[in-house]
Amino acid sequence: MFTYVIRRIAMVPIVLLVVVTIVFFAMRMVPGGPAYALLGSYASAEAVRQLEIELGLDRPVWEQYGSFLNDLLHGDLGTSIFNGRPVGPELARAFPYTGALCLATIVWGLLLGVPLGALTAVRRNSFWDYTGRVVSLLGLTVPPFYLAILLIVAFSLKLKIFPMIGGGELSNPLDFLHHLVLPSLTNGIVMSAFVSRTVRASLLEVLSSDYVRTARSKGLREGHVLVRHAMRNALIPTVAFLGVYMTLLLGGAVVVEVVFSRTGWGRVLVNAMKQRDFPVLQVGLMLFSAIVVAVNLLVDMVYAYIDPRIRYS
Amino acid sequence: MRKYLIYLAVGLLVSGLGLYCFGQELAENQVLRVASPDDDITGLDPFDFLGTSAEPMSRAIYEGLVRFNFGFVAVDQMEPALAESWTVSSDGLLWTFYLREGVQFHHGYGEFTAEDAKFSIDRLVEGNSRHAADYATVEEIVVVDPYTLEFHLSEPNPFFLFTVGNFHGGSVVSKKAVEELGEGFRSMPVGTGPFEFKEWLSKEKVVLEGFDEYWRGEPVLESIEFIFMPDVNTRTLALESGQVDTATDVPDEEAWVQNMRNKGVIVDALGYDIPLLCHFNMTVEPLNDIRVRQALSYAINRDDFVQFHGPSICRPQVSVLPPGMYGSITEGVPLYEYNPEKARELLAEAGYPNGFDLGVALSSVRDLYLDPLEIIQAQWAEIGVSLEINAVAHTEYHALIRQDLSPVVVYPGPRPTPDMIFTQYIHSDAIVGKETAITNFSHYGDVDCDGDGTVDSVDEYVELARSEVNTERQKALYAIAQLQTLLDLPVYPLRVLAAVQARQTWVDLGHVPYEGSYINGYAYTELTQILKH
Repeated sequence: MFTYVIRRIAMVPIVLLVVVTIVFFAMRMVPGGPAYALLGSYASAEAVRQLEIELGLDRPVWEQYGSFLNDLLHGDLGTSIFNGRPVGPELARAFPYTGALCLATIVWGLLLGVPLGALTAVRRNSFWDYTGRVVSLLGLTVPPFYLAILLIVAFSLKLKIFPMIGGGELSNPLDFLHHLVLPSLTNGIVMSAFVSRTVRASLLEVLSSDYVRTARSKGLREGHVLVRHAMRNALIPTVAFLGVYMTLLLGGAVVVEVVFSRTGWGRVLVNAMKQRDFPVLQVGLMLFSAIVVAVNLLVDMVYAYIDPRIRYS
Repeated sequence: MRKYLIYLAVGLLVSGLGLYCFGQELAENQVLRVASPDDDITGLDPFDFLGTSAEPMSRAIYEGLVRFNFGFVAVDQMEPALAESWTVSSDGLLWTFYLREGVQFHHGYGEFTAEDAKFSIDRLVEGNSRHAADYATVEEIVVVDPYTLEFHLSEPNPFFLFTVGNFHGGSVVSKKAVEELGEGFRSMPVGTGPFEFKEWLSKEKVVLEGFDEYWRGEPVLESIEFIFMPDVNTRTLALESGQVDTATDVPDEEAWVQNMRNKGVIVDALGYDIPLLCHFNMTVEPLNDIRVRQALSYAINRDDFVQFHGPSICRPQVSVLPPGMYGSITEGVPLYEYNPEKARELLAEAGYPNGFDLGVALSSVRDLYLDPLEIIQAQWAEIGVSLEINAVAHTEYHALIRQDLSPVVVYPGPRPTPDMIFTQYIHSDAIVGKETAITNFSHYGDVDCDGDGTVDSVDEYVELARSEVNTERQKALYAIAQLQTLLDLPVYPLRVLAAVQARQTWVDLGHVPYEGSYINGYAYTELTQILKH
């Protein structure tokens, strides 16, 4: 187990280097570039030329790459072309908002999805099952930005209990959480649709297995059988699913961030893409991959821990 | 007894009057929240080009030697600001400004003097800022004494005051602050305006605070928060729920305007700011044939554009200079009014009786560019001209159209003066592909438009008008240029949109909003206040 983890961690620098290199060269091959982004409709030929020289983009690509790697190794994460601010602090400031959003989404996703999945499995082919599956289908098909607006209209505009703008102050935890509810609920509802279906499928399988039959024949109450014996095993695939979903969440956070005007990595990276802000994209995507690798490693470790079959193989 | 009654009556009268005057009570919370349409700003240094979100911030932080008059902005109505008065020599080559004494910069950067004003403009030219071109005719700026500044011009410039107003390059910065902060000035701006910069939380908001020592008086507002809200639906909902006080860049649709007005939000749709020109790339066959361009123009129905946005915020644009702009002519111009039969006739004459395939036109993904092109595509399909649209990312669009890669370019791009419009879109120096290229996509000025063997151009009228101080003569020159352009038809003007902005009923701007001009967003002054609500 230990060597396995070490091996996985050792892969990280390689993955990061590959990602950064691909992003670096791919960005420079697309027509346009940051000079046109900054100048917009005022781009005259001379202004573009001059700005590219200022930004160091007229140098040969290999030279730019070398200088970027050199800076990176010295801890210099670069400066945003778009707003002239250092990339590191900007990403650092936005991270708690995105991180909290992802975690809170997972909480909602599990809180809403697991009971729904269990209900539809236990009351299979009943009214509850059909209703539950239709509800989860809605969660899968309604576009998140539309769902976000519906939630805003209901809870912010009409009921006035939650704010619709911003992520709140980091220094004020209550305010921060207050601003977190609607955005995380939006993605949480979508996630719960996936979770409920996964839970339903695996629970159905578990409920018909031998050891559950044994537990029932021992005279244990159904509730006890469900929670103590069935659910724990049924949830294993859900854990594996979490790892994959985390990656989707990090990338998909941008929709919710835009609609709720929250700061976050989604917006930073998407804006950087639109503006061809090379420094932010390069470092941002590199760190993004690092997080994806880390999360997947964590999930794999948890998975190995809770599933003895893997541990002993 | 009667004396007391009289005293009582007078007392009641006075307090009644007092209550009436101060009856418009102020809200306790004087923090103005502005919904800004962008993801973020690029900085607050007037050296750079500031976009839609940053302009109102800049206008609150900086001032110019003169200030744009509120209401319908006109160059001859500019008001004193950092300059108390000014004179111009009879040959138009020497402008002398007498500056205001005792004006303080923000954050303790000392008193404003002529050195700061000179520095503010010199740095644009020396650093080759995007605004440097506005000062091309300024040979030298001389500091006569701390409160007197001279501009020596190489030729008369009737629009000169425009360039020293509270807009773009005219914003006065603190020399000391720029020298001290260097690149950092971009995120720590220092000006003389009613609001001081407090903080910029990237992708979140920019906060300005009322500047107590502002020379016109301490602002009523405590602070202004410009909140970045990139989703237009959120901006709408925020206005409806009262969570923001003002918003710009709202949908330019009549339905939206009426809906918000019904909900009790003030919507200002003033002036006609956003013009639209369809440029025909005359190096692409068959657009080099004037009959084809005329046919395409006759096939366009300007009414469709007006209906698309709504007649209260959109009207046809019949000339290169949009209606309301200085020198614009709207009467007696060839309109090429919608006439599909005439269009087909002209096409047949030119040798295309069944129409033709114009190829692929580039567009940005943004609605402002894509919607009109789709309307034109449908209108041209009716006369047998087929056009495919390739919508690309905005920055790519701007790069590719400057490489001559689109047969037609439908371009908004509002510009504040007739000189800028002609210089950037119509003059031959601006033709894309040249060293001096700006945004002349049609190649007008370098090609033979009407097939008579000679190159057609209005360059000389534009150049003469640029330095003509007599307004009648100048307007006449622009009139000729506009007429000739319409006859040669390198571009076809489509429509102008009003600049739509919205504010809550409890926002008292303290002035009439800017109108008929190119200025983005509301102005917030020391008089702006939030009423009780």
